[in-house]
This record gives sequence, structure tokens and C-alpha cells, in this order.
Amino acid sequence: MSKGILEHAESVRLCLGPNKEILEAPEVVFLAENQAEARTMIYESEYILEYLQEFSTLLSLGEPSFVTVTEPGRQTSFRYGPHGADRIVLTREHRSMAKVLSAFDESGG
Amino acid sequence: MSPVVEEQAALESRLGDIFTELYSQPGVSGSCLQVGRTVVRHDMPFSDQRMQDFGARLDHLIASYQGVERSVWQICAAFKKYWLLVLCRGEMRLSLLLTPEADTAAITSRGTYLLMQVEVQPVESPAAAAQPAAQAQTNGKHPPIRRADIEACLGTLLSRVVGLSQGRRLIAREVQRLGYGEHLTEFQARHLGQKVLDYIPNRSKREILTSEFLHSLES
Repeated sequence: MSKGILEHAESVRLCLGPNKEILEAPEVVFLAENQAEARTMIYESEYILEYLQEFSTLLSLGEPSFVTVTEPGRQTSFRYGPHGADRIVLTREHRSMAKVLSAFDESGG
Repeated sequence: MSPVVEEQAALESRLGDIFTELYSQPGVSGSCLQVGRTVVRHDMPFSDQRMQDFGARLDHLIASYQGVERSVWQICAAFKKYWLLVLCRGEMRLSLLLTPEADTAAITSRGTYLLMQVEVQPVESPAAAAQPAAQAQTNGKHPPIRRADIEACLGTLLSRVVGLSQGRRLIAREVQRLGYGEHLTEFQARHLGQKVLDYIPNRSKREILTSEFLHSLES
């Protein structure tokens, strides 16, 4: 059974500003019981970016542009711009990379 | 030959087959297999020490998720030059360098399935060491699985691509054809799932749902 934000929605998209403030997100993200999870996702976006930058250095991969973390019943995707993460997409369904990429730019939640 | 040496030889043989299979997929440019933080085998164009450093950092990342009770199956990251696909199963991590044109869904499915074939079995006896992984799992390592639970899982996955009633018919057809009982071994559950999901015509979707099903057996 889905927990947290995914208990209320199958898919949500967060747009972040340069200071990691939420510029745009569906209402479910702002519910009191979901705000901690939203903050955790924003922290996670920076946390995993540090590892990606290490991997990039070790394996000469170039700058990271996005990452998807897939778990049972949950897939979290982060897109990175000049100021770090600027998009977060959270879904119950495990999506292909093509769908993840298009989801970053979809309007609404 | 001692059981340990036999087991090691069998593991080496399986690893060779796995990497051959993976490199038959277009776009696979490099690979690294590790258990925990230890790199077992790699063919990246970097020193062993650098790859050990990579393996240690990757394991640290995965462990940090596990520390908050999050079981990561897969991490896929796009970089300027390559994509890095990391598949996790237990303590095993398979990292693949892919070109951007690679079919990540197909490679994920293949990599996950092949990773499941390499179970680092403890050597309990010469007979146990000689058994293939799938058969060993039927020897009391995993409790029987209710067929109804597998059917429910498959029904949920199929509902994303076909109607409910059609999905149920597909499942019922395969259950009848295979003649499985009310309780399944893990091998039977996996076999049933793969046979049902083979009906999905869209290859990319089929690969994704197959990976998800195989992982869900472990959950």
C-alpha cells in the first residue's frame, strides 16, 4: 500500500527554485502530514547529487543531468540544472526513462 | 577439487555468461559487479583501485537508503557522456555504463534477471554447491507462495496496459496451461509471471513490468 504523498496521488511533480524553495507543486505536497516527506525529497536530491558528482569524477562521466531512484512501489526522479535540483517527479509506477524525461516538463502535478 | 573451488569455478563461469549476455545488448559500454563494497569483476577502463573506490562509494549510497528502510532496486543517472545504470539485488550491485541511445528498459530487465541467476550461495555441501540457483531456492530457502497473491500482483501490473477482464483471462490461461497448484515455489512464481507478461506486445513496457514483478517477489 502506498504511503505518504503517494497515498493521495499516483504522480506528483515539484518545481524548485535556486534556493530549493518549492515554486510549483500539487496541493497534496503542502498537506501538513506530507511536508516532512517533501523536505526529505528535496534533501535527497542534493544528497544523491553529491554521490553522482563523485561517480562523475571517478568514471569521467561529465556533469549529471538527472537521476531516477526506483524502489518497491515508488520511483523518484530528480533533474539538475545550474543551481542543483530544479525538478522532482515522484510516481507509484515505475516508468521508462523516456517517460521520466517528459514528466519533468509536464504542466501541473 | 574442493567444494569451495568448485563453487568459485561455477561462479566464474556464470559471471562470464552474464557479461557476454549483457554486452549483446546495444549500448552497454562498461560494467562493474560488486558484492557489498567489494568489486568482484569489472571491465571499465580504469584501475582496479579506482573501481574499488567507486564500489565503496556506491555501496555507501545504497547502504544509506537501507539505513532508512528504503530498498533501492535501481538507480539510473544520466551524465553528459554516459548513463550509469545501477541494479541492486541483496548485497549485489551491477553497474553498467550505457550510451544515451541504449534501451535502458531492455538492459534493466536483462541485467536484473541475470543478476538473479548469480546467487552467491554459501557452500553447505557438495550437493548444494552443484545445484543451480533456481533449484536451490526451492529447497526450503523460501516459503511457498500463494498462487492467488501472484495472480493479484500480475493483475495489478497488467491493468496498466490491458483491461481488468482481459488481464484476468491471460492469467487464467497461463495458470491452466502450466497446471500449477495453489502454492508455488519462487521458481514457479517467477515462471508464471514471465509467461503472463510475455503477452504484453510493447517491448519497453513488457521489460519494465517484468523487472517490477521480479523485484516484487523479493518484497
